[in-house]
Amino acid sequence: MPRSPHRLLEPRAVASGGSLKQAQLWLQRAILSPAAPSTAAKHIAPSATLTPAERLAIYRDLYPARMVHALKVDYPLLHQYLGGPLFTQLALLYAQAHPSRSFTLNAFGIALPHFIAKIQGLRRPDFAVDLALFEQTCAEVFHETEAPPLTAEAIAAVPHEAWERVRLVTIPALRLLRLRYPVWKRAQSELDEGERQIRRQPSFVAIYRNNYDVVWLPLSARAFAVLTSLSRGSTLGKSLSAARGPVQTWFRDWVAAGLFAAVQIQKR
Amino acid sequence: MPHRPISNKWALPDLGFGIGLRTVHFLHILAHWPKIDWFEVLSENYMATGGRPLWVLDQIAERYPVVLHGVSLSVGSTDPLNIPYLKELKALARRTRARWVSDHLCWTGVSGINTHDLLPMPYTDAALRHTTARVKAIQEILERPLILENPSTYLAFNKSTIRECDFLSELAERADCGILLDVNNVYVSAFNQGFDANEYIDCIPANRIVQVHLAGHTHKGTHILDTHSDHVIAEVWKLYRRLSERAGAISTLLEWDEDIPGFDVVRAEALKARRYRRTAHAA
Repeated sequence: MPRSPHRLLEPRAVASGGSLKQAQLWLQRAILSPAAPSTAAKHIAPSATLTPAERLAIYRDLYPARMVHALKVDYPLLHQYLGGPLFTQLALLYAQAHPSRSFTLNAFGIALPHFIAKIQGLRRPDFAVDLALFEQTCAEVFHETEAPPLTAEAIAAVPHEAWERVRLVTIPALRLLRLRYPVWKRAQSELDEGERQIRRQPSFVAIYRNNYDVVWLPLSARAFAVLTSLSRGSTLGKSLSAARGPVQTWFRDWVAAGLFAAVQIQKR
Repeated sequence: MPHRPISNKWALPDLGFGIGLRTVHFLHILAHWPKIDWFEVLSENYMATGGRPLWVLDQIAERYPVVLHGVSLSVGSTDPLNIPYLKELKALARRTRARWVSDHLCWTGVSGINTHDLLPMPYTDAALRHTTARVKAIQEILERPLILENPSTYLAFNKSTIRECDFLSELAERADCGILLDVNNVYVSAFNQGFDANEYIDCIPANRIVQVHLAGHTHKGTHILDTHSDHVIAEVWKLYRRLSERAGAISTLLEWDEDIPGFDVVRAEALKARRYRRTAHAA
């Protein structure tokens, strides 16, 4: 069973005659804590059909279900890989350690890959972490700002003599990942028998958005290095100076994929 | 659209019968541009995002009236107001030309935490003063009246001294804000809290009601959960008719958020309200 290094939260006793703030602090702690408080009757009135503890339990049951569901939405492949019960267990530990601090649930699961990395007792933990990183990056790309991509014609219009000094600004909705496993293969609808256990190997991928669809492009290590250099603002001259490989083919594919948003020419 | 008498103090229009904008219906809407009076949009789903949902919202806001309905305003919280959130909400309202902006009489968290639940307020004088001040401040930032929805609640605080309908009515008066009267929530909370739903409907000042919600729920025997997962039941339709008889024609929205059926099913459910409103005016 996975063990969390994080300390559990417990509701502290709060005087029932206190302020609005105290009442809210008490109720929030009572909902978020793994253990139900014994002080429900001090704060909550009974109904005709339910005791104070039973009324509180409605909120206590809804909260974890809601947070686990939010993580399932953002991490469907991880959920499938771990299986429902283990995923739920991890999600509950995560929710306890990292309660949402945003107005949107879109941000809730952002720390999950890092959290999984600290969990002990997981089978193939590095694979689970990489899978979570992949899915978290896909979610980031999904929500990223849109920018129209450069066309091949716009790039071809750059004067030849300026190419060394060109900076290609990548679209905001692009992320480059270096992973220990090619985890994106889990997203394939059918895996070959031999691929069901995806083997560990250095893996590189560009995750980007094309016409609002999130897509990914596996890369060689060399292509990854060139694209990373470009995305960090290096000129074409610098990025390609040490590159070995079919650079023109990479370039053509990246332009066709719409990875670049603007051309800047560095002054001499 | 035929002329409808306007019944609220801000002369905000009766938009007719609308439904909530849900991602499962995106493809259908974009393909067919179906006949529906208006859409209600969950504000937070279109904030802090630049992806497809925002693009879809832009297409819809060009063609249909839109209102914003939030779940994270946390109007009753004792945490400071979230100014960046309010600024982003204001920007979204401007972008969509939202006819109004609404949220709930509730709080969602303190100490910087968001439970993403609509937590009940203790209904006390202190809470009323606190919430009034916050609503006024929010309206200053948004530069428009805030429309507050009555919540579904599953517990009540021992310290509450004011009826919920009186709390909401007095809050609306002191803060000069509007009310989104969720008739299903009235039914749900009446069962859970033991108050009279008809009295609640009659208690709310008609000239402050800008919008009505209708929805289904899940009855658990000992309590009702506001699940928005089914058709509207007959008793809720009766409450809606009672409200229509007193308050006239008000923008009406059908909420369906779980086990969402096809667009046409949800639309048909929304249009049932036309029959009950007509019945009320014929009475």
